[in-house]
Amino acid sequence: MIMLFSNILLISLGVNIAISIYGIVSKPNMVKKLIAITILSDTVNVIAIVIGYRLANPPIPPIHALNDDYRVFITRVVDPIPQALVLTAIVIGLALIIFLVFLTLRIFRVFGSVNLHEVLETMYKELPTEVHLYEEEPSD
Amino acid sequence: MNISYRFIGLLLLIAMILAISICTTISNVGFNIPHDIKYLSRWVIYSSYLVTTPIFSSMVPEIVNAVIWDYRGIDTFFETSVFYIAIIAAIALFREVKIELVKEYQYLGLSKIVKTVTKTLLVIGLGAAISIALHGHITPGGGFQAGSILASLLLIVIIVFSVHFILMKGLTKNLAIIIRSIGLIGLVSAIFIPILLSLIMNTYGFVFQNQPKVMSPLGLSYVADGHVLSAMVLLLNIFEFLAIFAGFLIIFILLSRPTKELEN
Repeated sequence: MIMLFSNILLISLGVNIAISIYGIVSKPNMVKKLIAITILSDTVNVIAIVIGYRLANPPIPPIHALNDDYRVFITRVVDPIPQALVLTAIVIGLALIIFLVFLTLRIFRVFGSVNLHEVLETMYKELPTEVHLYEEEPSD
Repeated sequence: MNISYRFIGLLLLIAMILAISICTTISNVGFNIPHDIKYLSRWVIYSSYLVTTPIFSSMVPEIVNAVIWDYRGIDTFFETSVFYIAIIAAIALFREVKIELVKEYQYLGLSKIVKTVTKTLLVIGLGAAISIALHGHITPGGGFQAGSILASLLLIVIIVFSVHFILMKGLTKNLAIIIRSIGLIGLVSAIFIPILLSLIMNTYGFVFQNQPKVMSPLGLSYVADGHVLSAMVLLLNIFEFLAIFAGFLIIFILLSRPTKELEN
């Protein structure tokens, strides 16, 4: 039963990853891309937490209590290293999201849209046709 | 158009296959939740709080904090610097934004019921955040979690009372930058003070030295008057709390500026 539940959980996490990658690749809206990135990073964090779980009766958080017996403690405690890794990953993901939010807001204020197709159209419309992006080298 | 959709479908299929293969390669048949933990984790748990031999231990009862601030301290230091650089980039993108203060801020925001509830919530949340920051080394939590709690509380205040309320009460962007600088300077000085002391005292010293080691006698006491303080971890948690909360406050103040006002 526990095996069934864990496999259902992991397959649903895989589906989550697929959905979020689809969102990042196919949606032209920057806000939707941002939501998809958030889902992706959270799903990966949940996978790491699941790897650190253990079947004990009952599992306890990794905190040393006063006067605890180490032999009993080590049979019940869950793995602390994935939790520490996830804490780092959350902060890095948050920094990425902060930067992307500000970039999206900036694009909206400059171009009036967060849809990347429309942004590209306005960019090409505003460029005069005779301006060359790179100066041509004089050919002798 | 048709070709691009096919391409996306192909990518989706590849992602699906990768995702399911991750799930199935963790074990042979599906994923088994283990009954035991790995040897490395066993060693980390054993050595994080050894009262009998503190010289071989980090002396932090909360093992996640021990891993973050002692075993992988430099990693956390650079992670904080990534967060710092992201906020610097955000400030640089919005450097021309100047917020004009509205003095009659009591007419802004949501209704009086919501404001009263938020005032109660503010006191409780402030206490919870400071408690989590100060007890990060003995209970779940730490500087980052406490800073996030306080920052989300301030986000609620910005939504309910409007950003002019916070600015008129004195929590401006510049003050937040100063608090954040204090936090980061405290973090860096707490990390590098053992090395400076070792130069003066002519002994060995290490970056992120929490407890006295075999070769170097530097380090704060982990216990004071019967209370476990975990030496440097308490200081690092407090400084991280200041840095994270002020960094988020800068972001929320910058983001709460409406676009219509900018166009005028």
